[in-house]
Order: sequence, then C-alpha cells, then structure tokens
Amino acid sequence: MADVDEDAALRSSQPTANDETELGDEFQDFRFLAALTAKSGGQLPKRGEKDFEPHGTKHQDGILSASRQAMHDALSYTRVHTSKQYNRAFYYGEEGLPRDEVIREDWRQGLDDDHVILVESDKGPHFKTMGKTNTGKRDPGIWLLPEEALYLVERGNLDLWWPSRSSYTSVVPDEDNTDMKEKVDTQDEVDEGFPMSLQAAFSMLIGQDGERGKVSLERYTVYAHLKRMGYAILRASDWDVTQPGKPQSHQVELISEPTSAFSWLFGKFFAEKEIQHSQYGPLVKPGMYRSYNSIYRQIAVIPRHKPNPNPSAPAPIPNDPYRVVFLLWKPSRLPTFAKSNPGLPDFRVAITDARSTCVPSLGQISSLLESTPWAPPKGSEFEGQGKVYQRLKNGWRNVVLAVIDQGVISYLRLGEVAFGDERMYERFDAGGNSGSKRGGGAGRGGRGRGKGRR
Amino acid sequence: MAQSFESVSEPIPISLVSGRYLLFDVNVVTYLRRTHHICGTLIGSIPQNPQQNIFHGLPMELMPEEAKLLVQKEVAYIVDDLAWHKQRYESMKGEDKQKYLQSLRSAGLKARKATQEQAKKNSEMALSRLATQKAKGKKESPAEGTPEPPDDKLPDTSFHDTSGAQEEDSIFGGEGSSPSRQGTAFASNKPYPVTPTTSYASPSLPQNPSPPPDPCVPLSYSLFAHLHSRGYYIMPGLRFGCNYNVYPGDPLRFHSHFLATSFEWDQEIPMLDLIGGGRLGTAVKKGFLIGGEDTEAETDGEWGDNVRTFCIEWGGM
Repeated sequence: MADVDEDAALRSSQPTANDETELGDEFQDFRFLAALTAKSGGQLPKRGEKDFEPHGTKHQDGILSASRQAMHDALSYTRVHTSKQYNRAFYYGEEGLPRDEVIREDWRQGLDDDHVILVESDKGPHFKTMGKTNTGKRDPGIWLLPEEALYLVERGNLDLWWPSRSSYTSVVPDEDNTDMKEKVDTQDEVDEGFPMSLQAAFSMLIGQDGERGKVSLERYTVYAHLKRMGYAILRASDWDVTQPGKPQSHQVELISEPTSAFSWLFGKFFAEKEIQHSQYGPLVKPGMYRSYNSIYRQIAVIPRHKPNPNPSAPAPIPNDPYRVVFLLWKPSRLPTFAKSNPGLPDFRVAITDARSTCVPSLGQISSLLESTPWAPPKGSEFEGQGKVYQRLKNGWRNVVLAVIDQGVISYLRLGEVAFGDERMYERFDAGGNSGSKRGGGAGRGGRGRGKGRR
Repeated sequence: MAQSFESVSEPIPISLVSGRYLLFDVNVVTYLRRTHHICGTLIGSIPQNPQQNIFHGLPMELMPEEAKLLVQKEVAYIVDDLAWHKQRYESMKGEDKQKYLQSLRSAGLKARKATQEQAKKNSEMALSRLATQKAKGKKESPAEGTPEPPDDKLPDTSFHDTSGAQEEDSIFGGEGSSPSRQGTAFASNKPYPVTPTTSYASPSLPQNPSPPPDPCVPLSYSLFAHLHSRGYYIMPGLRFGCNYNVYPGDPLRFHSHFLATSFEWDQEIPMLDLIGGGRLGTAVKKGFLIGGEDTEAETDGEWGDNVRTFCIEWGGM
C-alpha cells in the first residue's frame, strides 16, 4: 500500500524532469533532427518511438534505413562560412609556430600560456563570454583558449588557419615592422597559410591536461556539452593539473543559530542529561516522558557532521581529478555578463573519467567541497519547517561532478549537508502542543514518504 | 530509397588523439555502423543546429574495445593524428598547397552557388504563395486569413530556424541556419570560406608514420567481443551503471535489451551488486547481464567463444 503511494508521488512530482532525462539516455533517431530545425517544430521525439527487437519485416528495415540516411545526411554537413560574422583565426600553438617565438612580446602581454589562437576579428555574440585581449598594444588582438577555439570551429563559427610566418602582420598591421612589410609587398599574393580541417583542429588542440595550449578530451567534451546548453563558462583557478590546488580562503562569517523557543528554554537541561548513558541497558532510561524531544536526545549517540564556514580540521587541498576546473554562469545571466568581471558563478564543475578513476573517497569529496565557497541555504525560499528538503538539497557547499564514460556524460551534484541540524523530533512535540489532528497525522505522513524516496 | 553512401575501402584509418580513438569521416561512420555494428559515441556539435544536446555530430569517439576489435579484424588501423598532421602541414608548400587551396575554393564556390539558388527558390516560393493568398483573399472573406499582414510572411520562408532554438541563436549567433539572409553579405563572386571536416579523402589513406600500439582495453573486452560476435550493438553503459548497454539491433531503431557487466571467472560477486543490478535492470525494463571469460577453456579460435553469460531478472512474486 505504502509502496504504491510512494510510486505515485514520485511519478506525479517530477514528470517533466523524468521525460527529459529519459530522452537523453538513449541514442536518438536522427529523422527527428529535422523536426528540431523546422520552423513549426521544436517538438522533440517521444519515448517509445523505437522497437523492441528486429522482426525482419520490410517496414522495419525501411524505417531503419531512413533513420540511418537521416543521420548520414545530418553528419555530412560541410562547414561553410556564409555569414557576415565570418571570423578567421590563426593557430600559434606548440605544434606549429609557437606563439612565444613568432609573436613579439608586447603583442602577447597579459595572456595565459594556453591562449594560442589569435582571432582576426571578434564579430558575433560568442566573444562576449570568450577570448582575452592582450594588453600593452594600441591595436590589441583577441586570443582564444584551445577549448573555446575548438568549440567555435565545431559549431561552424570560426575558420581556423595554419599560419605562415607572414600571417600575423596581416592581422595586426604594424608600421614598425618594416622588414616584414617589405617581404609581404614583394610577393604577388600574401602567403597567409591555409585553413585547417576540423580533424586537424582536434589533433592540434586536444592533448593531455597540463600540456601547453591543449585541453584534454574529457574536459573539452564537458565544456562543449555545457556550452550547447547555453552556459557561459570560464576556467577555474584550479585548472592547471601541474599546479597544486589552491585552498579556499575561508571568510569569517558570523552565523546566528536559529533557536526555537523550546530548545532555548529546555535545550541546556536536556543537553546535559543526554551525556549520561550507562554502559549496559537501554539507551532510553525507563521512566515517564511527556515529549519526544527528551527521548530523541537520549538516543542520539552518533556524532553528526556540522557544516562550518571555517572547518576546524581543514581537508587537504584537492587533487586531480577531484578539483574544480570550470565555473558556470546560467544563460539568464548572459545579458549582464562581462568576462573581465563575471561575478560569482552559479555552478562549479569538476570532471572525472569513469574508466580511469574510482568512486571518490570521503577525503577527496571533502577536499573538493572545501575548495568551494560557503553557500548555505539562505533567504525566504529556504526558511520554515516545510523547506527541510530544499535546505538539504541545497547543502552548505556544493559542486557539480561530471563523470564521463567514452563521451557519455553524467552530471552529479555533491553537497555538504547537515542532517543533524534538521531535528524532526522537535516538530513532533510542536504538533502535539497545537493539539490539532493535522499536526500529528498529516505531518508525519508527509515526512515518511519523503524518507522513503531518498 | 536512394542511398548516398560512398563506398569505403578497408582498412580504415582511426585517428588516435591523446589516447582517444576518433572518427571524422561520415562515410566511415556510416559504413562501420552498417557493416560492422560499431556505433561509437558522437561527441561533436551539429553546426546546423548547434544549441542543443539531443543530437550530436562528428567526431565520433570509439571505445578502446571497438578500436581494438576493428584492428583485430583487420578492418581498421590506428593513425597517430597529431604526428600525421604535423608532418603534413609542415611539408605543405608550393604546388601541394595551391592544390589544397584550390579544392577548398571550388567547394566554396559550389556552396555559394547552392546558397544563391536556394535563396532564389525561396523567394520565388514566397512570391507564389503570396500570389495564391491574394487570389484566395479575393474569393473568401479576409478574416479567414492569418492576422499578420502577408508581407511578414516573406522573410519567414528564408529562416529555417524559428523554433525554440532561435532564442538561443539570437544570443549566440545562429549563422548557417539561414543561408539566404546572409547570402547578400558576400555580394561579389568570392567563394565562401570552407572548413573541411576531414584532412584526407577516404580513397587516399594516410601513410602511418609511426604505428601506435594496439589499443589498451579493460578486462571486460572479452565480454564485449563475445556480445559483438553474436550480432549485438554495444554502447557505453555508465548511465545504467554497467559496462555496456547491449542492443539487439541498431540503437537508432531499437531499445537496449541488456545491461552487461563483466566479471572475472573466479571472481566473487557481492550479493548486493546482483540485487542492485537486477533491480535497476528491471526498473528500466532491461535484463541485467553478467558474463566472464573462462581463460582455461579451449576455444575454436573464435574470439570471445569461451565467454559465458547469465541474465538476472527480478521475479515479481
């Protein structure tokens, strides 16, 4: 009976979320891609469009070959730059003409080591969240990180070129550099290099974490996946695997403990009492009890974790791969987003490979969580008795862990939770005091269901 | 039905990029899927519709198991893509380079022409529709028509993209989805710039500068090879907490049947794993499959022949 109830509650509570995740779980029929692009559409394929197993009918074979054809057609698209917002870029990474050798120092001031792609122009809305401008030059150029450039190439928004020695002067005209200019002038046609294919871009820009001017495929896959969802993404300070992670500077914050009238009056009295457990015998001493509170306090023998903005015993600094590598801002914040001053991110993402790593240990999770700032559930949406699960779900610190298995990404949200702070039993007494049926019966029923779900 | 698959000649090059196996050629992807039941995982964006995660595009990432199986069957060989590209691009000069640029130029011209023709066709279609609407409007009452004036219909035909993705597109620039609008951007006869997907056409296979070692595969490879040899299609299984997601036919058309987890022959399996896997499998209407290789058993040389599998289902008693 209870089971049936639970299932019904589950199904009714989050039908839309369920549908969405289910869609992503299995490989989609490419015939529906057209529906996405068609102007009437935006309608996603429904579940159950697929068959259970092949039964050898011509009808089924026909549908399958149509699906395969649709997939083939969709994938055989060639990236043609027809747009007004045509951007060309040059690759100055270690594999070709390394940036630090080819480009004069005052043209690459203020850049990170990984900024190896120079963009000719920054037309289009992408550059609101991407790229970095070098300082110390009147005519500054825009430089991209490998994941940014690769994502734009993949999307068909960037034409990446393999530079020749004279390419750079054509991007940034400079009078001082006369000998270069003469060289260019003597040639009939300016040798600008040639375009790189998507395949070449992958081979040059994908590498191991820590290699200069490269990004690992796991990090890139997660980056592109999140980017397609519309997030603005910047690298976190713990990005570089060759550097030790930086501990979070724990800000001092005074937290006023919310105390109910009951615990204020009787808390001290019971707290002293609960320490005295006899070595044998029942946890709850026989006797007369007029409140749940006194009983529950006696049986609470296991110490609970209490989140603290300044942990007394800080966890070690986070280690690869359990460290925050990307900071995310929701699409709704894009209008006011400035890449030089982005503000506090909405999410922090750590990335791990399912095949080469195991389930993280408690120590690794604590380190990862403690490297993120203190973010307790505050505000009206988290207050009151009914918001227990919202509080627990939000946590006191949180981080998103992307687990990637051969290109398939699963996102997990890890939170530091204070179950010990949510004292259910205090409410049992409060319900009894108010003397109504509602307080006891319905209240407890609701909690019971909730417990079963988690 | 007209099939437009280009023939692919074996062996096929698989790109090795920083320890990952990637495919960039759409013909190879289609060929492997049809002929060898290899699905891989698409990890790239679809430039036609880049702001979504339901459909993904090239490149395709292969599991090491898939790469190893193809190499073992002598269907494919591994190419170190970085070394190949470095060598190729550093030696690309003179005539070779002109030829490459020329091929891109002609592709760009072709694309330009196609776009212009499409734009012309679109405007013609819109005009004819306008004409029929006007003719209709004269006969029937005007109230039956759409509330917006017909002029607004005109640009509509050239926008392929007015779906939900358009909001995103206005933020992120949905170029490429509406060719005719931007067709005017290049008024001259200059070819459009083209970014090719692959670095070599499938007939001209790259020489392997330094053959990389065979793919390093996990212990579950024998189970993978066994299931593959029985005609199943196999995808990565982390979403369902297993090694492999096993499909009876092409995942494009069929739901998966089994959640396969590999164990060693003498390995003790915790009861909780069996119950957890069985419950999960039953909940998603799939069978929880365990399998392992008997390394001492004799085989007839066929791969994955000495693998035994069992399926565990939750009895609803």
